[in-house]
Amino acid sequence: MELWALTLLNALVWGVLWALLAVGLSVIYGALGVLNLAHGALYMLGALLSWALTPTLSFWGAVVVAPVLVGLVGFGLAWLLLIKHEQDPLTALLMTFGVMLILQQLATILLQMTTGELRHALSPSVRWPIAMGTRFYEGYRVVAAVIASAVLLGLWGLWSGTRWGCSVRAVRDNRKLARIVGIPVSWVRASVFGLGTALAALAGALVGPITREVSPTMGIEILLVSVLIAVAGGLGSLGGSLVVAFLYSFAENLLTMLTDPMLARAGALLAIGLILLVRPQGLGGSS
Amino acid sequence: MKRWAALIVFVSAMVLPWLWGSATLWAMNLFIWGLMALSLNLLYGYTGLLSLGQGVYFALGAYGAAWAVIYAHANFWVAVGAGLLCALVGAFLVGWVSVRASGFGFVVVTLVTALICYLIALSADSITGGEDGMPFRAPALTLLGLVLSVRDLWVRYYLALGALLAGLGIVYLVSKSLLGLAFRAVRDDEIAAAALGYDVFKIRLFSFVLAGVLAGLAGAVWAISKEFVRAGLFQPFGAFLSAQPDPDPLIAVLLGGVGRLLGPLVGMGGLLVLRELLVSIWPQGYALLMGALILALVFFRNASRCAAARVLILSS
Repeated sequence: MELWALTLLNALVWGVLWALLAVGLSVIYGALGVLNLAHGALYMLGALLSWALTPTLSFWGAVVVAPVLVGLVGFGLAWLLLIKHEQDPLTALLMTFGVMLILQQLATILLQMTTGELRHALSPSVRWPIAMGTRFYEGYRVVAAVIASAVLLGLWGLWSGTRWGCSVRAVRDNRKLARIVGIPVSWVRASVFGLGTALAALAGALVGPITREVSPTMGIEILLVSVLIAVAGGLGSLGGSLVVAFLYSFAENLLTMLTDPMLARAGALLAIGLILLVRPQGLGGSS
Repeated sequence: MKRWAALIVFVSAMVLPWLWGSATLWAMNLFIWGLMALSLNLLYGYTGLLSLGQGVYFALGAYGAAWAVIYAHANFWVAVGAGLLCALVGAFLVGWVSVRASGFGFVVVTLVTALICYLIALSADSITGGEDGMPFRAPALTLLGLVLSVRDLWVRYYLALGALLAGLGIVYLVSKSLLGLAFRAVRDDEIAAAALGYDVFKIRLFSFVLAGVLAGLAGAVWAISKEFVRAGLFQPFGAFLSAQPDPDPLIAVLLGGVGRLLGPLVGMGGLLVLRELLVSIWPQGYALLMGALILALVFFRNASRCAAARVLILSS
């Protein structure tokens, strides 16, 4: 019984975190028409930065500052590579692939120069164990999930309630028309990319204390899973990403009770892949 | 002129192990990874399907050969055949699903397939050897009554060369045939190709399976000449993650020229030279350079295409 409760709790927590990543990918696709393969690397950057900043800024300070910094990096990257020169979709995808390799390798080189090691164990300063029968659940995870949900809610508010959100939707639906009515299209697109990468970095900063380890390659599997979630949710659709993120998380965590974690992840990926087989445009995508 | 150049290259490849022994290993790597780049070029360059998970079929070819040797004590040719069969079946199953999606959907399915296969290979480490890999004893190569041991470098060299020539022949024939035209028609305009009566799904699936078999051939030859397989072969982006990075076929294709017959080979040669140079000076710089290379290649290819379009528009 306790095991069930713990598994469901874990599924909820990870569902929100996956949603944070997939929604970032999905918004970026909506505004720029690019599948951002650098998303995992930016997630890793967020985790590493917040790990590096924690001694000076305290953990919570770092969780706020790291995503902002990474978001600025994303803004600059988008401006330089994707917006100043119009790219066709596959070319843009290859560019983000190049960015991913560079960021990952820069992180590797910097870590090796400064600390001499690549993997760093992270001992969380905040844990807040919650007693559940004979077991304990890490309260930090619940707090992280609450923060992530608040950010997602805020994003939804921005998306549907502000002038900026309105411009983003206009750019997504018809870029030429958006330009004609006076929306600063390039600026909007770059800011969406920055925001999406900031979401990835926030996920990285929050996940660090859960996985207890940061390393330059931590973003690769994360990237593949969140890309699948975003595509199966329908690229450009926030609701679809959200639903599929929870579906994936529940599938993975429930399967973990049956088999080893690697097979559980493979099974959950297959299950989400089935959505694409039935609906190639994704759950919330329009054909 | 072209024929003479091809003949000279061919003859020098045939005599290389006897004239310049120290380059043999390098050239062998070029042949195996060049075949891999050839396979990707068939898929991306001719049919327009960008696969980031082509390593899966390489790995299936390698494991097929290794399993045939370990569990069935197969001889050399059966082992290679088993590798090809594994790659063929895998490519058919994945292609059946993935080629329905085009563009991003296809890229994502190929990537996620690689992750799923990698996770399964890691978890089934009793038969795959897991992260550490698994050595096996390659069977002797029997050809026209001769029994050759693949432990000899020159045997491995000619094996790789033979595989590459077979691959080159297949890609050449396909690119000159009606089928090659159909590949390109599907790449350039899917809707127009469908309107002309081409079955886009079948053409893509065929291209995917053929590319998978070529990758499987490269994998089988690689496994037999190394006498070693490891689960990391399946890993998505695995080429950049190990301490001894494998050359990435996609970058070779971009470097050598997308959709050209010999382009991927030239690109792979360039990459291997770069790797040799960098690994001795600054090993970490290799992946960094690869990232920068992708950016530069993609950027300038696009820029030159833009320039060409502008000239066309102005002159018309």
